[in-house]
Amino acid sequence: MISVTKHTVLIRLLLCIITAIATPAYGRDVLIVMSRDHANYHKVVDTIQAYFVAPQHQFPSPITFSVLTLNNNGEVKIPTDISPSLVVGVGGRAIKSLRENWKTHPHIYTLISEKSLPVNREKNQNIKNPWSAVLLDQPIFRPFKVSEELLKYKGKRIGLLASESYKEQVNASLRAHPEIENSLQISWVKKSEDVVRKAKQLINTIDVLVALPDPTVWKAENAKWLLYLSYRKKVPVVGFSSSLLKAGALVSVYSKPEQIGQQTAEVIEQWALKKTWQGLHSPKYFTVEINDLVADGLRTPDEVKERILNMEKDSL
Amino acid sequence: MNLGIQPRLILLAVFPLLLVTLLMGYSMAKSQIRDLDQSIDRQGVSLLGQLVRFSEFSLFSGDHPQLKILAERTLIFPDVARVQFKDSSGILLVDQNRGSLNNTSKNLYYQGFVYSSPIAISDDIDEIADSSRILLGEVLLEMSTESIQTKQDGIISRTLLIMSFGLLISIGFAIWIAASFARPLISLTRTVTKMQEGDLTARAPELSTGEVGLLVKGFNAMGETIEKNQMALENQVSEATKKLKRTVKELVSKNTLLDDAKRNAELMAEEKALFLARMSHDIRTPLNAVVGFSQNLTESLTTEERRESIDIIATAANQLNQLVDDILVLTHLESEGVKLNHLRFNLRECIESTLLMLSNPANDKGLELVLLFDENVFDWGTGDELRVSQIINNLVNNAIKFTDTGHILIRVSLSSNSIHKGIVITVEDTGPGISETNSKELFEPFKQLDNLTTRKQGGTGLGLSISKRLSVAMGGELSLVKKHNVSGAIFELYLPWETSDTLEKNRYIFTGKNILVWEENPWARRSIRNLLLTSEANVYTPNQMSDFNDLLHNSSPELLILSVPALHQESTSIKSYLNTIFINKIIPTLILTGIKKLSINTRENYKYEHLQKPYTQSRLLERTYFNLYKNQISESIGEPWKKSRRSDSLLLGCKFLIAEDNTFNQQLLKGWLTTQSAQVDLVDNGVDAIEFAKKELYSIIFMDVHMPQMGGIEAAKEIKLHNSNAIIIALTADVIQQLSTSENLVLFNAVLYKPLNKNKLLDKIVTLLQKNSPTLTQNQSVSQLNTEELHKLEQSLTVLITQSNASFDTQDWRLAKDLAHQIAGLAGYFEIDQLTQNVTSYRHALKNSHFEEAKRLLLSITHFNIT
Repeated sequence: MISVTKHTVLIRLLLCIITAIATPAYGRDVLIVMSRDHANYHKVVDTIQAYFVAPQHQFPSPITFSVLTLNNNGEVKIPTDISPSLVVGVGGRAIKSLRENWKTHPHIYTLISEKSLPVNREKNQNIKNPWSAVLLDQPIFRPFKVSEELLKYKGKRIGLLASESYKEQVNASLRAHPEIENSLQISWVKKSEDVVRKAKQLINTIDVLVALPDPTVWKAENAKWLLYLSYRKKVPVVGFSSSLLKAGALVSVYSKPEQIGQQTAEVIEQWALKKTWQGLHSPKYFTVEINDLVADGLRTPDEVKERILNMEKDSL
Repeated sequence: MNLGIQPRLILLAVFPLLLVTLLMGYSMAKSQIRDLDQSIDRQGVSLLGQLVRFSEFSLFSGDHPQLKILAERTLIFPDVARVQFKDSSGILLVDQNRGSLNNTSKNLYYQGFVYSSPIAISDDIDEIADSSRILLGEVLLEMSTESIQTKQDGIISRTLLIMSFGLLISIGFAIWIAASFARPLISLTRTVTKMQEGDLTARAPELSTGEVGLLVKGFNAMGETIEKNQMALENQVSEATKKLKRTVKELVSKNTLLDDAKRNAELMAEEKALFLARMSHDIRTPLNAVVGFSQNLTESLTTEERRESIDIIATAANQLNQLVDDILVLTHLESEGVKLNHLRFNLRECIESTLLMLSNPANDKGLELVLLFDENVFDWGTGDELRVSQIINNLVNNAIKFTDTGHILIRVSLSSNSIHKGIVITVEDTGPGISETNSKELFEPFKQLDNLTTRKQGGTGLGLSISKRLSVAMGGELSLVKKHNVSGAIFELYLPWETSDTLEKNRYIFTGKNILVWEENPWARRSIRNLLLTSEANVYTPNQMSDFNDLLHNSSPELLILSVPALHQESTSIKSYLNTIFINKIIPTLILTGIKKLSINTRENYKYEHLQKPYTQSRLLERTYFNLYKNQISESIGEPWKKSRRSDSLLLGCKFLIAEDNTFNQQLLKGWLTTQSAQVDLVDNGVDAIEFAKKELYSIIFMDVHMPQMGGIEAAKEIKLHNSNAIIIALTADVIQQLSTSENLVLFNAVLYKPLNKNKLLDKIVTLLQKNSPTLTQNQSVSQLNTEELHKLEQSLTVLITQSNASFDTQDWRLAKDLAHQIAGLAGYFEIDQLTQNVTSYRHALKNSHFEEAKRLLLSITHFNIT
């Protein structure tokens, strides 16, 4: 931990020196606004800044970075000498601040769920300035692929509990991967329906349950009961975050902050190169991880676990 | 509360046990009950917690049957009375209760809220932070206390049972312990009680061992010792009682004998006293006649042989009288003591009159009797004059007997003892003194000094013994003292009296007059000096002749007083002595000698006066006065002071009543008075005396105390009632029964004791008449002078006043003062009051140099009126 901090400090110091001796940027000053003073956010920021230190990513007129952090009330004190060309918001809370304080600046929202975006996926309404978002939400086929791997040793059916609002995405994914559809059993949940009851019904008929970051189905309040029901029926759950993995999912496909930072730096680079950078960006880099305790509970064979873990290299 | 030792011991043992048992029982029951309460509470809390956890999913999923199952399973626990589940809106979902349990108010109620606790499922940090828990419903659990109550009752019952059992055992044990401990003590106490009640044979049973056993053994041993001692004591007391009874019996018989003896002795003493009193009266009465008539014979007879014979008779009679007096006084002192007066009297005159009585034997032996009052001693004292006189008489009489040459000094001084304040009268002689052997028995009655002088002088040997007893009776002391330089005897009479000054002013004042005195005896010189200093004169008392001669020529003396030693008994001897004093001036002279009459030839115009020693103060001052002023007085009224008191016409014109039952005494007294030209009436009882006194105004009434029909005292009372100014002199031969009480002093103007002395009698008559009759006063009023005498007085005063005016004009103030002094003397003597007052003021003005005032006063003196 100490070595990491020293390393970070040295990098920051080096960046400051470079910034100080560099010739003024031609509109390439980047302001990074962190939602909180949280390690995950710092990992993202550090990854972004480290990205542009590498010689292969350096520009003749280097990009300068300024970093601000919102306080607990979501406010930030903006220095008067800052006039960024691009504002990067790390975390969901930063979106609101960026939209209030830098209304006309180009924005990049990173390390957020799609549901946190104030815009519709299809219609880019309400946002007049150019913007881009690097999302945490994994593409649907990634967990399906992992589920298929699980089915190889146990069962036949993959279950999915999703709301009507998520129907389009699911269908789009099925269209892209029609092989999944045969083993997939979907239970659509309406807003007025009892998720648990629907889950009970579904779990009784499937062998693997795939969890999507559908806010109507998978909520903090009911997630443990869904995991509980699944576990009780020996149905492994394929999750979408490291948190869900820790909560009881057998395996989870998710992107780490560094991986999001890497992708965000690449978007910034695209912005700097005046290439296409706007739009929603699903996580390019991801991680597949198994909860060993649950795996033991479900008596998951090691070769299965190994295959699943190797899927991370497959660049799904 | 009076409890015995056993109840106390029981209480002592039971009370702490009871207290401990109660406390422990209460503590145990309380603890168990509290544990029960806590166990059911813990059970309730535990069950509630489990219900909250287990119902979360059912409440979350709305699985009511599952909730019901959960409630029913909870009711398996016997103390659970009811289980309720409610949703988040408070709607009752499940209500399961145990019907057999009473829903009492003592049941315990537990309420738990069921929340759905969210978990993080997203890696979006903000999403995780915004999540919060949701109320799913609530669980109500009712725990019945019925079984607890039953258990608590059981606990209390068991505790009480155990406590009662323990207490009973404790009481039994305490009683046993108390009995075993108290039994020997109680038996010991009973034994002590028996011993207190007198049963010394009682013993305590030796019931126990240890300290109490030792105590009992020790007590029994002590009881045996006491019993033995008691028996021994009883034996001793019995023996002592027997002896005491015998002794008492003997004492009773002896006391009876003693009482008889004492009674007999008292009777004998009374009879003796009565006998002596009768004898005194019977002896003294005829003696009085013997002494009186012998005095008459002495005066009338011419031949020396007959005078000597009669003197012997008189001396023998006086000795007999003294013997009787002494025996009577001593007897009286031994039997009843003596009654003492306590009256104010002139101590100086008392001693002087005593010395005058002893002057003849003293002068016969050529002894100087010197009375010296110290300067700080006043003349007046308070006490018994007669007894003092008696003691002084004894002491001086003894001194005269045992002294052949020299002097006898009677000195009155204040006691130097700070504790015993009073006066000391010292009688010191120049005799041989008293040996150590004789001094031991000096004050014993009937003891006489064993020497030739004693045998020669005779005497009863009672004088000192009587004097000693009298002095003690007066609160004083009489003792023989020794002084280193004095060979003679010295007696000191201490009397606890205070002296005081006279209230009367001294009428002899010689202020400024120079008086030169020649006296060889130092004590007498000091005495005469003290006497003259009271007159404010300038007194010179040289102790050497050379000094005397110097003063004679240099001090301008206006009077010489020459004292011839008493050893010079003849005129020729006295003249020879006087011739040794060279006097070349004509100065008034007063010669003091030890003889009665002095007749010597002197130079022409040299006049002297003679005074016999011992002299009284008044006599000395009187003679001094007339010698200083006799020129003035002689020119006016001749020399009345030379008129003899013993002239035959001393009592001319006086009339006396003599009340006396003894015919001889009547005749004796009548003879003395009629020879002084007095008239006398005689009566022989008190009744007649009263009759005569009522009819006639007597100058003096002589009243015998013991007379038939009516005594002198009763008669005097009656006479005084009739005439309070009557002068009555008591006559008595009873020297024991004093008449000088305050009551009798009112009745009697004087008391004379038989045998009477003619001179004493006449002196007393003159004194009383001087006090009460103007014809015999010392100072004379001009109204008493006849025409010729009045004329001479007037001429003398005129001459003096004329000289005074002349001296005033010539401003010779000294002469003026001298003349004023002379005028004052004449005016005072003849009681010319106005002139006396003026002259006194005139002298005062001259003294203060107020000459204007003096001149005015001299003018008023010049126009004096002698009447």
